[in-house]
Formats: sequence, C-alpha cells, structure tokens
Amino acid sequence: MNPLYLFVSPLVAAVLSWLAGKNGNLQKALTVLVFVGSLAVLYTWKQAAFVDASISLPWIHSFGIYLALAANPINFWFLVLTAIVVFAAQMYHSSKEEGAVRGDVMAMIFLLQVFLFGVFMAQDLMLFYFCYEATILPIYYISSRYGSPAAERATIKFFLYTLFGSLFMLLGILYMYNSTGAENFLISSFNPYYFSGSVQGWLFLAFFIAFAIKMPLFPFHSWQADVYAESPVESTMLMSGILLKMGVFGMLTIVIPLFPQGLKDYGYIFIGLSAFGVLYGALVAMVQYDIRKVLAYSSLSHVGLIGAGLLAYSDVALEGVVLQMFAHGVNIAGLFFVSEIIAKQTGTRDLDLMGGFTRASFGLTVLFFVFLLGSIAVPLTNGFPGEFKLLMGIFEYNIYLGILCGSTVILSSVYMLRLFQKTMLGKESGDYILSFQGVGAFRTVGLSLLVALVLLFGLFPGIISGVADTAVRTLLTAY
Amino acid sequence: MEQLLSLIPVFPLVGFLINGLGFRKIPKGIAGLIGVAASGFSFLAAIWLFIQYLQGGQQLISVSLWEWITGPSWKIDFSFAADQLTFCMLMVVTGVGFLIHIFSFGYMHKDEGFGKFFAFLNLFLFSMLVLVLGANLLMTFIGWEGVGLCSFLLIGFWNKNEAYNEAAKKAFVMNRIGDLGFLLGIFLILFRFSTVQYTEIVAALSSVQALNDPYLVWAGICFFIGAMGKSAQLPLFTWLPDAMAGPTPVSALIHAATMVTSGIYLVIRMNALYSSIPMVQEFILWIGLATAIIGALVGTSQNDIKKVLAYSTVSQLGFMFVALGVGAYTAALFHVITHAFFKALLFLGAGSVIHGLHEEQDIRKMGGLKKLLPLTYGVFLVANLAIAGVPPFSGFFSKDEILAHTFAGNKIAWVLLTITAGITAFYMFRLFFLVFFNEYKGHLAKEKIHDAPFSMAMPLVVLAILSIAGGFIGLPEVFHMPHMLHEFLKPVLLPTEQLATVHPELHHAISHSDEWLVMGVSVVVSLVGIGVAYSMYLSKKMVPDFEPATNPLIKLTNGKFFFDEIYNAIIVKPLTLIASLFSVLVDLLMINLFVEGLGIFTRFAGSSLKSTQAGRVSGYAFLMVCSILLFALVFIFKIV
Repeated sequence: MNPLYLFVSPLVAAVLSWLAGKNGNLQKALTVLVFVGSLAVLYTWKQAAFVDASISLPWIHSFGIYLALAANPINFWFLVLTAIVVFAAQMYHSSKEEGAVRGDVMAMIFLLQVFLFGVFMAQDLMLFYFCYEATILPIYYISSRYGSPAAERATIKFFLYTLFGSLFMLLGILYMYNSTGAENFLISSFNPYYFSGSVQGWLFLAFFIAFAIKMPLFPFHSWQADVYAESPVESTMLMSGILLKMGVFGMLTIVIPLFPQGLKDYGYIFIGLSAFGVLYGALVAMVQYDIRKVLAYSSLSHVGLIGAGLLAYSDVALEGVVLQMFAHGVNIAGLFFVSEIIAKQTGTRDLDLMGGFTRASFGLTVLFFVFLLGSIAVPLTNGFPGEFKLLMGIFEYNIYLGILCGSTVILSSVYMLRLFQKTMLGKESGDYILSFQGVGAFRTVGLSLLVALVLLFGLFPGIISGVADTAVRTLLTAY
Repeated sequence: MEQLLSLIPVFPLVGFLINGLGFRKIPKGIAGLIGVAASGFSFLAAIWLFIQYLQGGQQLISVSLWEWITGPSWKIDFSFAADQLTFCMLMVVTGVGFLIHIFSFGYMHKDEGFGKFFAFLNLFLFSMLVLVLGANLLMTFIGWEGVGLCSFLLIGFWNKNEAYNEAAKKAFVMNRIGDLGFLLGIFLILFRFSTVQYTEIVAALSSVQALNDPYLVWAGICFFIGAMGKSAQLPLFTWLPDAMAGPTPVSALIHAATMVTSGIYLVIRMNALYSSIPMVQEFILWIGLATAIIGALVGTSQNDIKKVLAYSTVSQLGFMFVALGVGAYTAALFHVITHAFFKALLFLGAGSVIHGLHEEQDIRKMGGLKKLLPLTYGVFLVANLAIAGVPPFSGFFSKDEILAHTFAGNKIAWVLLTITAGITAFYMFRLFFLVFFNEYKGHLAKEKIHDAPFSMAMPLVVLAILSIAGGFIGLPEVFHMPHMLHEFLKPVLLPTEQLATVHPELHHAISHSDEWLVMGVSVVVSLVGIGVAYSMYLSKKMVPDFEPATNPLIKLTNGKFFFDEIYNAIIVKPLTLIASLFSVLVDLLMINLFVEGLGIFTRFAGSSLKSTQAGRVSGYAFLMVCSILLFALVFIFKIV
C-alpha cells in the first residue's frame, strides 16, 4: 500500500481543524478519526509485512534528492507511537474548557504529525533532514503564541540549540554525498565500507551531536527542563513523547548501520556520559519542586538509559531501545497529561503546595499510578521489558556501567514515589479538592486507553519484539 | 491440573479488579465477601491441586501460557510450575492468607477504605502466588516486585499521614535496592546458561563440579542481596519496623508470614547454586546471625507492641538465614512454616489487643488484659510459647533443628544463636507479662474493652492450633519418627545432596548425643529467658520508663542501634546534597551557562556580521547564513 496514505488523514485534518476553530466537539472527532485512520493504515502495512509500503519520487532532481518513503519493521513502532502521542496531545487540547480550544493549535499538531511521519519514513537523507528540522516549527508556533514569555525564551533556546546540532548533521550528510561520489541521498546508497575508520569517526560525531542534543543526552540537556516546564503542555507531551524519539531513530537507522567503526571508536566516551546522565537525571529529579521539572529530569534519566543502550553495540540492548522508546513515549505523555490536570486544578506547579488529590479523584490517582509504575519499570508494565533488556545489554558491555545505569531501578522509585505522594497523598492543602469537576468522559476514555497500553505491552512485549527484533539485530550484523 | 495451577493466582486478581474498580460503589459487606472469597477459592484450589499432586506421584506440574520476553538467544515464558517446595509455600500463603482475610473482615469493618483494603490485600495475594508459582526467575521477579508494591500500598494505606507515607516509600526503595541485586543475578544466570527456567538452571548447574566458581559466587551474592531487601536482613532491614505503620492484618500477612520469607524461598529454590558456593553460604550465615542478634536485642527495649513483634520478625528471619548459611534448607523452610503460624498469630493477637483497646499500641499503657481479653490472652500465650521454643510447641522443633545444624556447622555461631534464642524468650515474655498481667494502666473504662468478635476469633483459634501442632511435620531424628517435611522436600534438595557426594566436606553430620545436648541447652536457655522476664515484669512489676533511657546499653537497643540515623548521615543526606549540588551548581551554573555563553557569543558574532539584524533571532539567522554558505561551498568543491 502506498505510504502516502498515512499522510492523508493528518493533512486533511490539519485543514479541517483550522476551519473548525473553537468547536471542541469537531476537534475531538478529528482527533479520534486521525488516530483511528493512522492506526488503520499502519495495521494494514503490518499485516501485509510491509510489502509495497514504499515509494520513491524524484524531488530535487539535479541534486538527486528523492521523496523516498517507506515503512519497515523498525520505523513501524515509531510511527505507531507518533499516532499515539499526537492523539494524547490532541485529546488534551480538544477537551479543554469551553472557548480554550484553538483551531490553529490543532492544525499545527496535525502538521507536526505529518513531519514526524516524514522523519520516520524518510529513506533519503535530505528528506530526513528536512522533516527533522521542520518539526520544530509547529512547536515554536504553539509555544510562542500560547506560551508564557518564559516559554518563548526557552523555546528559542531549544530552537537554536537543536539547530546548532543539526548543522553538523547537515555537514555530515553533504560530506557523505560528496566524498563517496554518490548519485543521490538515498540511505540505501551508502554503506560503512565507503568510509575509512577515521572518517566514520568524524561522521559519527557529527550525527551523534545532532541526535544527542535532540534526545537529549547528558550533558547536552540544558534546554530541556525549561522548555518542558514552561511550554503549553501539548508541546511538552509532544516533545517528550515523540520529538526526542527522532534522535533515537536517527541513531538506530543512520549512525549504527553506517558508522559502526566510528561508534566503536568514540561510543565509549558517550556511553559513559549517558550512563552518568541516568544517575544525574535521577538525582536532580529528586530535588525538584516543579512537577514538570521532576518529569523532565526523569526523562533525562530514562533517555540516558536508551542512549547508553544505543551505544553499547549489543543486540539485546537495541531490542530494549525499541521497547523502551515506545514505553517511554506512552508513559511520559500520560504523566505530563495527568500532572497538568492536577496543576491546573491546584493552580500551581509547586509540589509543596499540593497534596491529597486522591480525595478529589480516585480514578485519576489510579491512572497516574499506573503511568508511574510503567515509568519505574515494574514488571507487567510496559517499562519493564525494555529496561530489562537495556540493562542487560549495558551490563554485558561493561559491568560498572551496568550498575551505574542500574541505579535507576532504585532512584526512579525515589523521585516518582515522592512525586506521587506529594501530589496525590497526604493532607489536602487547598479547596481545590472539593471544587474538582472530574476528569471528563472524553479524557477518561482517552487516558484509560493509554493506561491499557501500559499494561498490554507489559504483558505482551512480544507484540513489539515480534515485529522489530529481527530487523534491529541485522543493524549490527551489517558491518 | 495445569489449568487449575494458573487459576490459583487468578482468583485474587479478579477480586482485586472487582474491588479496585468498584471502590466506593460496592457496599462494604459485599466488598469484604468478595475479598475473602477470592482468597478462599485460591486456598481450596491449592488444597485440591495438592491432593492431586500427591496422588499423581508428585510429578512436576507446569504450564506455560505465552512467550513473555524473548531475547537474541533466550526466551522467557509466562509460566507457572509447582513442585514440593512450591506446595509448601503455597499452602502457607493461601492458608494463612485466607485466615488473615477473614480476620480483616472484622478488624477493618469501621474503615472507610474497606473495599480498597481488600483490593490491595487480594493484589498482594496474587503477587505472592506469582512469586511462589513462577517457573522461572523472571516470573518470581514479577511477584517479587509485586509484593513490594503492595507492601507500599498497604503500609501507606492511611495516606493522610505523612509519616506513614514516608514509611511506605522507605519500604519500597529499600526493597528496590534488593531488587537491583536480584536483577543483576538474573543477568548473570542468563549470560551463563541462556535460560532462567528453574529446572534448566538446576540441570545446567549439575555440570559445574568445582566449588566457588567465581562467576557463580557473584550470581549468588546478587540473589542474596535481593533476599536481604525482601527478607529484611542486615543492612537492609530498617524498613520492616517502620512498615508497622500499616494496618495490623497487613503486618501479619505481609510483614511476618509471607512476603518477608520470600528471600528464604529464593535461596532454597536456588539451592543447587548456593550449595556449590560455600563462600557465599558462610557470608549468609554471618549476616543472618548478626541480624538475629541485633533484632533480638532491639526487641528487648521497644514499647510499641507492633515494634517488638517487628524486631522479633527481623530476628527470626535471621535464624532462617543462619539455617540457609549452614546448608540446612529443610530447617529453614520448616521455620518459615511454623513462624508463619505463630507470628501471624502474634500479630493478629496484637491486632485484637489494639482493636480491643481502641488503637492503643503502647505496652506501658496496657497490663491486666488477661481477664479483659481472655481469648486473646490464651492464643497469645500459645504463640509466645511457640516462639520462645518451649516443647512441644511448633517453634521448638523448627528452631531446634536450626540450632542442631548450626552446631554441626559452626560452633561459635551456635553459641551466639542459642543466646539469641534465650533473648527471644525474654523479650517475648516481657511483652506478654506487660500486656496481660498486673493491673491495667490505660485510661479506657473497662466496659469499653472488648475481646475479638467471631470473624477475628476464628482465625486466632485456627492459628493457635497450628502453632501448637505445626511441629509434627518435622519431628527430630532422635525421636525415631518420620521427618515428613524432610522426606517431602528431598527431590528439591537433590542437587545439594549430589554435590555433597562429590564434596564430602559439605556434609555436616550430627550425632544423636549432640542432638540431645543441643535440645537440652536450648530448652534450658528458653526457660531462663522466660524466668528473667518473669522476675522482672511479673514479680517485681517493673514497667519500662517513659523517660529516655540513661543506661547506654538500653539507649543503644532502644535507639535501634541508630541504623536509621547512620543511614541518614552517610547515605540520605550526602545524596540529597549531591543532588542539590547537581541541580544548582552543575546544571544551572555550569552546563547551562556554558551553553548560554555560546549563544551570547553567537549572537554577538551574528550582530557584527549583519548589523541590520537585532534581537535574539539573530543567532538563528547567523546559523542559517553559515549553513547556506557551507552548503554552497561543498557544492562548489564538488563541481571543482
């Protein structure tokens, strides 16, 4: 089936949602339709084993740039996650209180979905680069238009920082094109044998910096906490849930298969930094008082584990990467979602001013707790299989790094339970408990769906592994 | 049979789901019935299966439901299995669990979170059943983390209280330290054997003939760290006394009878591994011994009825680990079983006291309850005699077996452990005399004090009978009676026995005369302990001071050896300090300023390049210009 089908529903929805404006019910309907539509297309591809799910049209002919798109077992789960996280963000926005729904925000998020699908399906390096850069525009639009002044400043910082990183990637792409005498930018036209060891080293560094800033990995994370804290929560959910996965994806499909020698030569430095980031993020998360910053640093810690797994050059770790990137996307989006409901109701993001929310909504407590369990990787939640494989792969790579990363098992429970107790438990510290109007039917259903995913992929991680594992393993055997 | 096996944990899971989803909607009585029924069905199913198992020639029952996690060279199934060891644990968990569910019906009837309580209790039972029924290490790990989670939920059950929440978090975090050890152990096993299935691990280990294989030593240590966390051994024991913040039935079920014995279960389950690494066994012996001693010493000067019992649990778990340390797996399991009976009874008895006295827990404000709570008094006496090791109560047999094996294995350990047994008798009877004898020192009107209602009394009586008679399953060899547990468990311990044929030095025999000696000494020591308690708290009617102690020794034991304070000073405080340092100094000042500095530099350079551009967008423009230039350059070069 033609890969362009996937773009139809978000593109149409982008136009329609702009027109629908403040009409909440229409926006809700579009949210659901695009979600279902995207999943339906993806499901059809998977059932057909991705046969014919590719297309290649000349785009800028003189440079050999193609509009080459394909779905395959590796990008499949990235695409599914895109649909899910976009759904979560749209669900949040379209169910906002009367009059707060904005057509342009909805449209921008659908547009973002288009670019994200482009990033994950791109088979051409220039197309990849284009979509990768383009994703930032909708986010910037939303933050600058609807965020606080602090949000705008933070977003510009994020903007510049990732742009700075991407510049190296662009240089790398051009160098690859130039030095190998390739006719085009198709990823399939390159292979590691084109590059000597030292060239691979440089290319590795160029791409790695771009992706490490995007994820972000320690110590490239300084944009993260402020952006996550200050942006409208829809942006935060999108950035933490799916945008950062572009970095993971780039590492997985470009860096690992094309620059294996570079990875071997320089990877050990960054795997050490990443692993340290696991501990670092967890410790900093422990002492934050802003509910969003706790989650931001928890994300730094969790993504540090994914980063270390990407660099460990181990098949089991890469299998873990796929599982964990998916789990992290669902969980962090859910956590930001629920914590925004709490923050809105209490009128503050300060943990010390919250408490006792379970008496306002027991259902929300349960939802929050399940996301949280997923996040700290309790068995039978989606976080566990991935973390298990990642830790195993890193432990195999180096025992000490394995133990360093293992600190997340202990520390994640410290900061997450602290977050839970400070928001949900304890004495109520305000009249927000009684005035809480409930979560609302649409959000309840949507959030329950996300929670169901947490448990589904905890019980049956084979759904993901079955599709991705074989393909992921071949990434390592290519060289 | 296979279906029935996987059904056993499903009952409480269904109970959890019904009560959990219907919390606040289901009326109390029905919620309680659902909770009790769920555990009851599990218990019945377990009995039924056990009978089938015995009739079917004790063939391993196993069922594999689906492939759970698959790796490059291994796969881990979601699977259950039951052998002799499983059945021992299964009967205790479902049996005692059922009784405690019934007890909770009466105990918690006034609580507004009644339905939630049963939901959590059912979830715990589910996790514990997965733990013992799991056919591989990772299945056990599901239960392992699950029981820790339920423990968190139930300790912090009354979640308006911040102190209780802290205790709950502490329990979970300390457990997770152990869990990390467990996880690393699983990795080591998986690397070496490409399997985590118990039967396959045993088969693979049978080819390892050398003792103290360094690789396996590390694996053994990792699993033991897991056991330390779950079974509250030094240095990871301080969470257990704090866990008493939970409702008393929880203390009985989770923090005495079942969850905390998982560590012992794990070591017995892995006996093929541990027997081949005597180095680690030695380590377990001394850790267990130190825990037994410290727990008992602290128990002598606590004044909260539940705290005394908590430290007693810590100490008794230490006894079990000493048994594991000398390779006496059967003795350890035997003590797990009898301890489940008498310690559950003690906690439920304490619950009955607390309930009767309207939430009073301080033993200095009790006294004279013998007449006011006659039933509780009776069952408490039984439990006390059992834990003190007075023949023929159940605790005597199991403790005596541990002491006998310790005598054969290590004489110093035996001396210390025997003294600890004496201290145990002392502090338990100190508690007993203070609570039930002399005159009542509380403020309640005597009419207001009531004994256990039927739903609470029934479990007490059943547990009392088990505490009296439970020892019959493991009568000592010198009595020339069959040691049923030992015979039953033989197949599980086969690897250990086979190893002992290759390495005779691992086998500690004990002569009959020595056994009589050990038995005699332990009875005398117990009686001395009781006697001292009698003279102090009954004859002299001493009551512990409300003032802080001045005697340094009592200060030390009353202060629980200041473990909490030490951990606070050397771990919690420094870690928080480092975290704050990272958060402010490194994150904001170093990394952030460096990056922003680059930005400022860029902006400066940008505005010098293009003076028409102003404001913060200039940096972006600069980068754009650069990239276009570079783009152009590269193409020019190519053309050239």
